[in-house]
Amino acid sequence: MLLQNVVTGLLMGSVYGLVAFGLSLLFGVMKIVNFAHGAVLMIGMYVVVSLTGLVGFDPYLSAAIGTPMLFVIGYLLGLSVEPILMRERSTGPISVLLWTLGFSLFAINIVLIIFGADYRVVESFVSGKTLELAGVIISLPRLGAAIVAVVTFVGLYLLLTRTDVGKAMRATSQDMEAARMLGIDERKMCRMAFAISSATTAVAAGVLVPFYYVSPTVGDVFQLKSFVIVVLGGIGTISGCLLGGLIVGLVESLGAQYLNATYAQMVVFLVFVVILLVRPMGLLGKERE
Amino acid sequence: MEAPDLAEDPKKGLRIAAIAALVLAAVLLPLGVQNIFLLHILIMVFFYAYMASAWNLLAGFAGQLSFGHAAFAGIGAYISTLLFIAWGISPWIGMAVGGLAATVVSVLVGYPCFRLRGAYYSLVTIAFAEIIRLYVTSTQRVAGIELKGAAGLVLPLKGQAPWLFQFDSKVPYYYTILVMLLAVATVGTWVKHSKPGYYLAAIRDNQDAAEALGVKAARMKLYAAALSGFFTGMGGTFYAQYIMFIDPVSVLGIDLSVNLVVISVIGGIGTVTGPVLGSFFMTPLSEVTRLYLGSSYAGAHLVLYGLVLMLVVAFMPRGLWEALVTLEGPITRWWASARHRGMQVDSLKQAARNESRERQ
Repeated sequence: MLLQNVVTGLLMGSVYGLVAFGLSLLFGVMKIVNFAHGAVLMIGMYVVVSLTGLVGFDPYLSAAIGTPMLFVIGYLLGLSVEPILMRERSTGPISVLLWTLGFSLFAINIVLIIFGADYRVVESFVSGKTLELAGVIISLPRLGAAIVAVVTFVGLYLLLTRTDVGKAMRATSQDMEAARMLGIDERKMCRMAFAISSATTAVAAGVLVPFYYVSPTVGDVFQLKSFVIVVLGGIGTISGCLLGGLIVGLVESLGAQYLNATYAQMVVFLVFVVILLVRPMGLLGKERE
Repeated sequence: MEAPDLAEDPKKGLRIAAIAALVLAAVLLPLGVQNIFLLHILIMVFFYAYMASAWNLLAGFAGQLSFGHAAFAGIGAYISTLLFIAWGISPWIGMAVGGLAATVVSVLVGYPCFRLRGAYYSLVTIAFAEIIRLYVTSTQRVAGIELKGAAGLVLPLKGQAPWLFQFDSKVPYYYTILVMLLAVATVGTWVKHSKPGYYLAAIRDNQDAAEALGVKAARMKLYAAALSGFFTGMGGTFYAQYIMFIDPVSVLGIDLSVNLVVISVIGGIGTVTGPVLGSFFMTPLSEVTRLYLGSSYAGAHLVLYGLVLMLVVAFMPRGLWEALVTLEGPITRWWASARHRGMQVDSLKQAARNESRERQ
């Protein structure tokens, strides 16, 4: 039973980590606290649901089409907040945070009006199928989600370490002033960070849909958990996101087994507050000054 | 003779006149308004103006954005309600107890955070409010006191009982929240124009510079957090007494926290007028859409909230308050020139009188 919970927790945790990555990237590179992250995930899920519902694609295929779409949406979001970010370069981007909060309210409730508050389920070719391994029952859609998440993480690692855009982003996150002096255009960084953030979130949306209920407020839970994960793992580190995600997944699944589901959520937030207060740079974050 | 002080700052005179006129209008309004729904909207406008002002004491003046102020409102609401249900203690006393409890909690949450920079306080307040909400949601009974979890608490009806903070008509509630709003606005004005207020503004705008000049940043923020928590907690009690029903979603949920943020920012964060202005614009919008569009378009007013918030942040970063101040320029000039003309007439009369006296 213990092993079962550990496996379930880790599978879910890797998806949490993937969702949190987008938030971490924006936080790390542009110092933006993105309150619209959950809404972007929700939009991604509805894109998948709509493509599957209207055209009849499998959710995974819909996700492959939805990811570039969300890349564009993210790019547009970056374009929208760019002037605000430039205006408040010196004071810290609190206005951007408020803008994303406005976008989140707007997007969630537009979707609520269009699609209604009903929970939606989408069937994939793996839905409901399981795999038994050493007495542990593994749900196939969850296994698929975890595999895709890990592969995406590897891809993101390569993107950030091997490509010019990725290197420029990392430079910006380490020292914005120095990056600017080296000719890195922070406006472009802002747009790219938003675009990549929302594209990875779309991947997560795609792998979640086959086993997760979709509703207009589905992003809220992920939004809060992503904050927890980002702070837990250390802002702006890829491995930190994955680690934070796995921890949250484990705490949830073990907590739900031995306490109850609501208390498990409380424990997640308690761990978060304690980490914030004791080690604000996160578990894998570097000490600053 | 020197011109009086008022003439040196005509804006101040104008503002005092405008505020006096508005307060007088607010006091007299229930005499003319018999429509219960209209009165309800006004009460909610004042309530959210009050709550947003309390939030603004910390967020606007000290730059610490809380996204979990519902926790303090919920603490106030639950404490006064539980004291009343369990021991029959008057909610007026409960309001003071709830306010003080919220103060203590606000300081305890702020204390470890205010040493850190950046968005940490915002994140901790979200998490803290969620912890409290989840706890109350899943707790039926604690130490023999019925908390009733997600079902919420219904306040026992006592009819017209002023000592128990219950009234038959909406008018006493109207005056209660009006007085509370005036109190928080007065405190806000005082804070803004006092030495601690200047310290807070200095911290908000440049903490390093302020600390270099000897301002105890963390301690000043704690004072602001205490004040803000106190007023927010009392607001929670008012909500409980007016609505007569509280549950974790309504008084502890993130929607309430976000509402206060949105109203303050749209009105003008960091100003005394801003949150009041924001509530006058946004609260009727939400109450009216809720009434006419109802449950079929549950989120309609939030679409507008979000849209207005995005537009204000992008194009009017200091809020609607900015528009009001821009308007103030021409009015002030008109007012000043009118005064000037008046004074000219006075001095001419005086000169004429002196002249005639000299002749005699």
